[in-house]
Order: sequence, then C-alpha cells, then structure tokens
Amino acid sequence: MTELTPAKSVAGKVVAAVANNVYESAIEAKKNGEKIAWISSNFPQEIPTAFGLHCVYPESQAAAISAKGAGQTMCEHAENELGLSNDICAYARISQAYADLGKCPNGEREMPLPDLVLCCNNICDCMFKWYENLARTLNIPIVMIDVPFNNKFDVDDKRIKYIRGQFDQAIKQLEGILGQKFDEKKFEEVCKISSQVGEEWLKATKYLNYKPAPYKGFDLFNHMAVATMARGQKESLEAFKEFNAECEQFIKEHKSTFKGDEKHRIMFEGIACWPYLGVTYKTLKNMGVNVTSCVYGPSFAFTYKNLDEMAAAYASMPNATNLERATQLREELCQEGKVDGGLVHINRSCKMWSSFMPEMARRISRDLDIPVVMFDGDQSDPRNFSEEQYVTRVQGLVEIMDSNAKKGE
Amino acid sequence: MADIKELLEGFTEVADHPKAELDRHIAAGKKVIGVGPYYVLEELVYAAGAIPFGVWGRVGTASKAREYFPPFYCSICQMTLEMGLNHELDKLSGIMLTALCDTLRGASQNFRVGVTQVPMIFVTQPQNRATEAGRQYAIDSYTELKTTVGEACDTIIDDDKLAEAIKLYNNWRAAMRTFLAEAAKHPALVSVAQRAAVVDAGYYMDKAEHLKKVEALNELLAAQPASTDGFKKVVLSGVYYDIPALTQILDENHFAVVADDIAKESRALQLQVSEEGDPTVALAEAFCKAGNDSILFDENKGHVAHVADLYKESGADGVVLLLAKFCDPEEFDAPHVAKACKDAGAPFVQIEIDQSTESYEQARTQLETFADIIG
Repeated sequence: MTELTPAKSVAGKVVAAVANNVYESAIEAKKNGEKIAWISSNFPQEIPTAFGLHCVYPESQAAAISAKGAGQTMCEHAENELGLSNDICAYARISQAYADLGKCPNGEREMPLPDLVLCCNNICDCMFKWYENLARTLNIPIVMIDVPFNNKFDVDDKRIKYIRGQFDQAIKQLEGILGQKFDEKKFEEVCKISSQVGEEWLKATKYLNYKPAPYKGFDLFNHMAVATMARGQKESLEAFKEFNAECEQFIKEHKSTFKGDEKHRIMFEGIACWPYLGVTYKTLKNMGVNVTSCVYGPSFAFTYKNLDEMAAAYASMPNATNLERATQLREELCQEGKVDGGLVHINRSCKMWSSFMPEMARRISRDLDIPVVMFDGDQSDPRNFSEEQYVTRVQGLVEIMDSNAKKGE
Repeated sequence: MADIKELLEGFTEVADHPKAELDRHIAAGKKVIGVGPYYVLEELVYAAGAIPFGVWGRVGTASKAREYFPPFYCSICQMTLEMGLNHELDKLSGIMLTALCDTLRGASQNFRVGVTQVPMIFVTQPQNRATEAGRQYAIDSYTELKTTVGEACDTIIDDDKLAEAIKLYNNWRAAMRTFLAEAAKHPALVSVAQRAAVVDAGYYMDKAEHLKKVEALNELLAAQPASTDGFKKVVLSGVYYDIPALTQILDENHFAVVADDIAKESRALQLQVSEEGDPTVALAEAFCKAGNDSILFDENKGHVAHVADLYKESGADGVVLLLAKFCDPEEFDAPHVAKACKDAGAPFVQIEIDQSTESYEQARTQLETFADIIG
C-alpha cells in the first residue's frame, strides 16, 4: 500500500468560509431590512436565489448547533416549553426551539428569524409538518413544493408535470410575497451555476474513490454545508474547484487528511451523529478505517439542462426513491469507493431514512458480499447514542473485514 | 326487525373477528383487496367486483416486522407488516397502501419486498391539493390505479360500475356520519366500544350490507329520546382508539363521544364524491378537497382549529387527544391542538396510545382524573 503523508486541507477552509458567509450575509441583510427565508435543504433553491432572496437552512443550523454541543438543551426546550414529543426529528425540535428563542444558548450558530419559509418534502414528509409549525408560530407564509415518494424506479411524466406546475405556483407566490417580478434571465444564470456547482461537488466526492483517498470521508459532512446552502453561488463553484485541485495535488503527492494507514474503506450510511462527530470519527480512524462511500455526494448534486430535468433531479433525491433505486445508488457508490464493509446509522430522528434501512443493509451486504453493521444513534439528540454500542459494532465490523482481508491475501 | 342490541352485537362480532369476515368473502367467491390507512379510494375495488378490506394493523406486538422496521415506528404500520409476514393476509389479492407520511413511505417498501405473496398496490397522492397541478396529479395517479386495481381483480373497471360504487360509498359515508351523530346522542345505548365496533365492521364488511345495517340502526336510534345525562361528553381526537383496553376505560368512566376528529372515523368519512361527470376525476377531486387532517399539508393548519371548533359546536365537556405513539403528523400538531383547545376554554388531556402497549394503567389514571375534572 502507498504510504500517505498526513496533510492539512487549505481548500477545506475556503469551502467552510463560503458556508459561514451564507449566515453572515443573511444576518447583515436582516439588519438592512431585507426579507429572509428559512428553506429546507433540497428545496429548488434556484427559484429564491433568482429572486435574490436571502435563504438560511434550518437543517444545517441544527447540525451546527448539535455539533457544538447545544443539541440537548435546544431539544429539551422544544419538549418542555413547546410541548413537542421527543419522538420527532431532533433537527425539527432544535429549529422550533430556535424560532421560539431567537438565539442559541451560547451563540453556537445564530441566524436571522425568517419572513417566510420554503419547504420541499423530497427528503421527508416530516419536513412539511415542521414548516407548517414554523409558519404558524411565526405567522409567516409558507411556500411548499410537494415531491411524492416514488414506488417506481424512474421518475415518471406525471411527477415531472406536477413538480413543474408547483415551480410555477411557487414563483407566483414569491412574486406576491416579495413584491417583485421573477427574472427569467437571472433564473437561467442561477440554474447554470447550480448545475456547475453540482458537478464540482460530485467531482469532489469522487476523489474518495482513489485508493488511498486524499481526504477523510468525514470531511464531506462539513463540506456538504456548501452543497446544501450555496448551490446557486459562484463562490461555491470557485471553492469546490479549489478543493478539487487540492485533491488532485494530494493524490499526486500521496497526501491525505486521513491520518494513519487506510487499512479499510467503508460506506457510512445515514446522517452524521453531530453531537458525537469526534467519537464516531476517531473510533474509525484509530482502527484504520476511512469512509470512502457516502450518499451525500449525489444527494446534493443536482445537474440538469432544462426545467423538466430540474424537476426530475429534485424528485430523484435518495429519500424520494424506491428501495431498489436507493439500494442501487449505494451499491454503485460502494463499488466506486472500493469499500470492504458498511456502517449504517439507524437514526432515531429520521423515520424516512431509517424506515427501510435494515432491508437495504441486508441487500448491500448480500449483493456486494461485504459485512454491513448497524448502530443506533441520532443526528442531533445526544440522548439517543451509546458510545459503547458504537465502538462494539465498529470493532465487530473491523474483525470481519480483517478476516476477509486475510482470506483474500 | 333486529333491535339496537342485536345490531350492535352483530357489528361487534364482525369487528372482533375480521378473519371470519374475510373467510366469508372468500367462500362467497369474492376477491378481496386490503386497504391500508387512509384516503384509499376503495370505490375502485368495489367497482371491480371485489371487497375492500381494511388493514390498520391489530393489537399485538411486532416481532418479525422488527427485521424491517426499527422499533420507533407507528404500530399500525409495524403490525400491518407483521400480519403480512405471519401470513394472516395471504387471502388478499392485493393491498393498497398510501405514502402520505414517512412511516407509510417505508411501510410500502417493506411490505412490497417482505410480503411478496400479497401484491402491494401503491397509491400516490398530492399534498399540494389546492393547486391545478395537484388536482391533475391526483387524476393521473387515480387513472393509473384504475388499471392496476382492475388487474389485481382480473377485470376492467368500467365507468358505470365506478359511478355506482361512488353512489354507494357516498350513501354509506352519509349513513356513517349519521350514525356517529346518533351514537353521540345515545351514549347509554351505544358505548364507546360499540361505536368503534360499528366503524370497524364497516372496514371489513361488504359496504352494501354494512350500509343496510347502519341505516336500520340509525332509524332505531333516532326513535329513542336523546340523552347524555350521567355521561362526560368529550371530543376524541387522534388516529384510532379501537383498542379494547382503552375503550373499556372510556366506558367505565362514562365518557360519551359527542364529536370526533379520529382518522379512522370522521376524517376518513368526510369525503363526498361528485356523482356527476368522469368518476375517476370525481374521486381525485374529492381527495383534493379533504382537509382538517394532520396527515394532509395545510398552510393554515386547519386541523388545529377544527378540533377546538368541534369542542365549541358539540357542547362537549372536554377534549381527549389520543396521541398515536411515533405518529409524526399527530405529534407535530399535538401542542398546537392543545393550545387551541385551551384557548377555547376546553379541558384537555393527552393520552399516548399504541397497538403494542401492554398496559393502559397510566391512561386509566389520566382518564379517571380527567373524568373527575370535567364531571
């Protein structure tokens, strides 16, 4: 195996700065009296971006808040003060707590309160309940784009027609709310940039396919903030290009941000356990395991040439597609990422994502003949994660991968 | 003519033994199609000459279903899958499942691959129902379903038969709404358990047969003087309450359901389908007009005000929210429903329910206390 030199990513900081700037510019815009939208991660942001609307992302905010240690405090506020059940998504609890408080306990990730909310349920139906609540509590309008779950493999014409029709409806609604006409030319420009950003983001994720990989897979969890929040911005394009150039340089120079030998390569399936990002990463790293396959790549890479293709792209989100397509996507990523095993997060917060995960995990294991283990956790509520269980499961996975590697020698 | 007691015993017999009712349909040479929760267009099944048969899980504990669903999922979906995996549904020629919430999305996939002996018929519906795009999506989807359901029943569904089915269902839903109103006025004659049994029997019986019996019951009830004396009048809100341990507590504490916001009852029964024009379009438009429901997107969250309105309009003494465990749509709405009820001056209690709950002693204490408060 090629020996790697540990490296620090400079470009990664450039990417992080773009994400940070989304919040900073929104805070500034609010101060200047401009309207702010809270927007779900896979809403077709091309539309509000073309209006010049400042959008901030409650999912990314909740992830940041919980990664910085305030997830439990915010969840408890939602439960004890707002009466929300602890069964519902922790992002939704944190976000509704933030809408109520208007601030974080210790400034973990502030963002301005919204004048409207933009919701798309292509990742889950929980989303529209969450946004309904925000709209009601804050007494602000909601724009909703419904992407019905697809039991078939391909996106059919009736879905595309429905989603296209909703694009038109959303534009009309926004014209009314914002008091300005929709600029077709600007929209085309934003679509072009978004598509390019999608391509660069996908390219960035594909560098993990190199063996050994030029960076640790957990870096994706951070970089995806830009793919989520700034898909329509030129700065994102430049940042990802810089990141990709750095990846190529690292590959040529045998460098990586993954410290240590890349003894095993795995798929990590599911949202990160943000409150335990350090523990979940270090446990893997200490056993020489790098994550080289992760569905976050295609999840935020929307590439299209026209509005029909754009509708199809937003309807093809992993959580909106059937079991077979969702499994095939993971299996292709596993093969490209040359993985020896899989680690699946049964995420207490995400009913959609976890709902057919056991079957998907069985299929991936069977079809690719690799071990796949599951662990229980939560994207943001630290009360739903056991470090002991996680470590034990990872140890079990590594033992099987070690044994398989010996057989293959 | 049967009396009230006899009729109610008949409904209870069916509600308590759905398998016997299923066997009866099969013995009569009928094809039977399962229908999950909810807003499933049963009329298509009926027009195909088959019997729609409600499958909303059952009281019990999921075991095999746990190989597909992690534990934190609504018991209706877990137990429906469990029934399929235990071959309790093998006599069905298909099962229609919607995907209006996250758990139903997953349930459709788990059922399709886990219970291959019962073909899953996927019902896709729009959430943006007030728009022309949503209306058209519902029409396109229902048009496809007409063929799929026809195939499952070895027939081609013609529009005349569908129009007849719509008429029957409209009459049945109207009769059921009348029954719920009559039951509310006669709690001494119709207990909470019996009310649930009449509703449940409707999910299992041939609708024409059920309609006749419900009409007969309605007539007999209407002839009796209305009285809620000695009862605590409540509005029930939630997805379901047909759990014997729960209805027993409600009856023992002399609760009378004077209005409901129950998914399995009034929410499902709100549909009224136009009997004019293309019947498939009429079915689609009826779904698009549905509202006041946590499972349906609503920018105004009409469901919340609706529960408080039911309290005000029905003259109830309080509101009981039966919160289905792990039901996202209900859990998101619950604090808002509670607030709207409190703002309306309604005494309010929230009880967590689940088909897999082994003991309802905590619910008993809550309901006994609530009965004291509103009594």
